[in-house]
Amino acid sequence: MLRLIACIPLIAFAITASAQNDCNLTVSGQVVDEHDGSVLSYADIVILGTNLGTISNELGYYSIGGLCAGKLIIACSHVGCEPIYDTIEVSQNIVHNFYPEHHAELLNAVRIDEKKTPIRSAVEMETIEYQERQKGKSLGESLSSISGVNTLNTGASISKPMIHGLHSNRLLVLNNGVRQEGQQWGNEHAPEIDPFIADELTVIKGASSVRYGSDAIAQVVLVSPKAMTDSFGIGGAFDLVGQTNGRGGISALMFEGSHKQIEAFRWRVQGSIKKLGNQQAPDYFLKNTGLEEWNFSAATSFSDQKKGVELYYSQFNTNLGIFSASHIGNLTDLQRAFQANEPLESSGFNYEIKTPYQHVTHELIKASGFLATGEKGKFQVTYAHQYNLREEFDKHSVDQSVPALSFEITTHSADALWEYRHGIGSKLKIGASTMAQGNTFSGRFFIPNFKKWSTGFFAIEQWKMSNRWTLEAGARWEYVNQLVFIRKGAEVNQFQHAYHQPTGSIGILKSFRSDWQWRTNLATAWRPPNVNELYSNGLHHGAATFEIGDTSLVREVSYSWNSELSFKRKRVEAQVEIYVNYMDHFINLQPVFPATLTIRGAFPSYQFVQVNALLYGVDSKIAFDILPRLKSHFQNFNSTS
Amino acid sequence: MNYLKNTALISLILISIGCKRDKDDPTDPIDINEEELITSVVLHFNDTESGVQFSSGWRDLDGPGGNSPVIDSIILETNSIYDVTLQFLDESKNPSTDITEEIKNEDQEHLLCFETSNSLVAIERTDSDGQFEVGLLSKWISEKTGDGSISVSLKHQPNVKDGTCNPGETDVEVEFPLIVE
Repeated sequence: MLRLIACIPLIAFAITASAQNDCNLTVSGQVVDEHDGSVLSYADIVILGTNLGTISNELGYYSIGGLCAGKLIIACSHVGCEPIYDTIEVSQNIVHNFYPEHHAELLNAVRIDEKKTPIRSAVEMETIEYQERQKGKSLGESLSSISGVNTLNTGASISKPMIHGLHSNRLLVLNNGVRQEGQQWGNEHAPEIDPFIADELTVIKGASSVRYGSDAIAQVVLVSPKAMTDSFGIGGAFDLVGQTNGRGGISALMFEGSHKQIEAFRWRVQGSIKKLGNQQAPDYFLKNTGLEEWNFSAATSFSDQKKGVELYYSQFNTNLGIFSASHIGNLTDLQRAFQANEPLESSGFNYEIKTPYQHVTHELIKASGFLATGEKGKFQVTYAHQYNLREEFDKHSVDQSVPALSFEITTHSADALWEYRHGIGSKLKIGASTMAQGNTFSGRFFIPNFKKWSTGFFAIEQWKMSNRWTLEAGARWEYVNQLVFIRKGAEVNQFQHAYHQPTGSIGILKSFRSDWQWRTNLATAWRPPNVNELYSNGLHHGAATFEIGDTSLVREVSYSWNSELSFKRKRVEAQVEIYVNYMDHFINLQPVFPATLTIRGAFPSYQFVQVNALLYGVDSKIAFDILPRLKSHFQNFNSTS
Repeated sequence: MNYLKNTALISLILISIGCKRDKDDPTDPIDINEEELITSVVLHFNDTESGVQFSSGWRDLDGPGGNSPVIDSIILETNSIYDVTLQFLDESKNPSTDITEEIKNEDQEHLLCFETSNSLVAIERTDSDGQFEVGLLSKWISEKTGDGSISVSLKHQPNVKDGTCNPGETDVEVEFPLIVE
C-alpha cells in the first residue's frame, strides 16, 4: 500500500474557536482504513484555520496539542483517500479517530465547499481565487484586491501589477509554473496572460520566492490554472460577461474530462474571446480605445500518485487600441494636449481599432513530469517554450499593415526540483533552472537584438519547529550572460554582459492562538540591467520620450526587511505590513536637460541612471463580511522613497 | 495503451496548432528601418524683385540623438517679397530621398504652420489641397528689420484637417534663427 504523504491542499472553511484563554487541550487518535482496518501512517492531520497539525506515526496514531477550547474543524488526508473534515467540540482532551476510505477513485462523490479559504503558510502569503466577481477584469486588476498589490494602468486596457512600488522586470509572474518571459521593459506592456486561465492568484512573499529566480525584488505572483478534474466524465463551464463602458464583453468556454477506462488520463480545453469598443468618459468617447483579445489553452495529464506527465499549451492574442489623442508628437503637442478641455481628437462610438495600436501574441508550450522518490520525496522536471511577439503600429505610417517596430522573443527554459517532506509543514526543496533566450527586432530601433542565458541553483528549507513557529530559509546562486548584437553597416558588433551573484532569504512565521499570525522576513535579491536599460537610444513613441541607455550600468541589488501581522476570523480579516527595501544601484529613468532636439521638435529626455535608494512603507487592509454575500474592503498603501 | 495513443494524438494537435517561431537570427540584426525618416528641412527662397535665389537648411543627418542638428540662419532683406518652396529630405541614406512629393500626394492630411517672433515677416500659404491651404509654397513679406526666429512645423492631420494648426500630430517642428537686414 502507498505510504506517501498526501500533497492534497486542504481547503475548507474554518469555524474559529471562541475566545477562551484555555489553550492547552489535546486531540489524539488513530487513522484506520475503513475497508481493511489497516492502520494508515503518514496521514496529514490539520486543524483548519490554524497552523496546528501533525502526521500519523507508523501505527497510525496522532496527537495535536495547544488547542483552545471551542468548536474546531479537523481534517485528515491520506494518499488515495478523499480528505475527511470533522467538526469537533473541544472542552477537554479528546480522542478522535479517522476512518478514511482508501479508494477515492472508486467514488464519484462531489464535495462542495461552502467557501475555500486556503491554509496559510509562510510560503504562500496571500491567495485570491478568481471568483465570479473578478471575471471580466484584467489580471492586474484582479491582483489589486490583495493587500500590498497596486496596479499600474496605462490607458483603458493596459494594467500591470505593482508591489511596494516595484513592477515590470522586478516582479516575477509565473504562469502555470513557468516564468513569464515577454517584453516587460515598458510601463505600457501588460502581462500576456488570459485572465480566464487563472483560477488562483498567489503572491509569494517569503523565502520560497528564490525558487523562481534571483530577481524577485518585488515578490512573485503565481497565476495557477484550475487543478485537473478528479471526477470521471466530461464537465464544462461557459461564462458570458457584459460591460457597459466599451459596449462589449467576454465569452469563455471550458471543457474537461477524465474517463473510467483510463483512470490516469485527464484533459482540459479552454478558450476566451473579448471585444470592447471605444471607452466613454462622461462627456465624450475616447477615440481608438477599443480592445480585442482571443486566447485558448489545452492541457492533458497522465498521472497517478507516484508519477505523472503533463502537457500544456496556451496562446494569448490581443489588439489594443491606443487612445489617439494621447499619441502626441513632441513637447508642443504635449502642452496643447494638457491645456485642452477635451481631447483634441474625438470620435463617436465604434469597435474599430485603428493606428496607433499594439498587437501582442504569447505562446507557451510546457511539458512536465514528476516521480515520487521514496515515501517522502518527489522529483519534478519542467520544460517550457515561450514565444512572444509585440508589434507596435504607429499613427502615421505609409503602410499601415507593417508595424513600425516589432519584437520577437523566444525562450526555452528547463527546471528540476526535488522536494522532501520531513514532517508536517516541513520540507526541503533543492533545484536548478536554466534558460536560453533570443530577441530580435525589426523596424525602428529601440532595443537591439540579444541572446541571454541564465543558470541558477537553489535550496529552500521550510521547517516547522513547533506548532507555533515556522522557520524558512532559501538561497540561490545565479549566472546570467547576455550577448547584444548591433549592426553598423555591413559589420555586426557584439557586446557581452555577464553577471553572477547569490540571493538569500530568511523568515519566521509565528501563529498565536488560532487566528493571529506574525511573519518577518529578511531577503536579498538582484537583477542584471535589462537590455533596454543598457542600449535603448531613441524615441519611445508610446510615451513620447527620448530614452537613453547606459552600457556601464551594473547589477542592482535589493536588501529588504518586511514584517506582517495578520488576523483572520470568520467575518473579519485584517492585515498590516511594514517594509523597508534598500536598493543598491537602483536603476531608474531620470529626466535630463535640455530636451532632445529632433526634427520632430523637442522631446523630454530621460536617461537610465543608478542611485542608492531606500523604499519603505506600510500596507494595511481590513475586510468585513457584512452579510454572508456582501464584503467590505479597505486598503491603504503608504510608501515613500 | 489507449491513453498513450490519446496523449500522443493530443500532443500532436497541440504542436501542430502551436509552435510559432521567430524566423530571424538574433546574431544577425537587420538594418534599422526607420520609416519615413526626415533628416532635413530646406527652405528655397526666391526674391521676387531681384530674382536672387538662396536656401537655408535644418539638418540632423544622424537622426534623433547623437550629433546636434546643423541649423542655417535665414537672412532676408527688409521690405522684400520672397517666394518660398519647402523641401523635406532624408539625407541619412546615399542617395538621399526627397519626401516632399509624398507630402504633396497626401496634401489633404498635411498642413505647414509658420510662427515668427517680433512679427518680422508676414507669411501666406500660396498652395491648396482643393479645400484648405497646404504651405509647401508660400509668400514671405519682410516688414521690418530685426533679429528673431521662425518656426516651421509640418502637421499630420488625417481626417481632422480644418485649416488650423490645432488638430493632428506634429511630424516636423524646427526653428531657424531669422535676421532681417
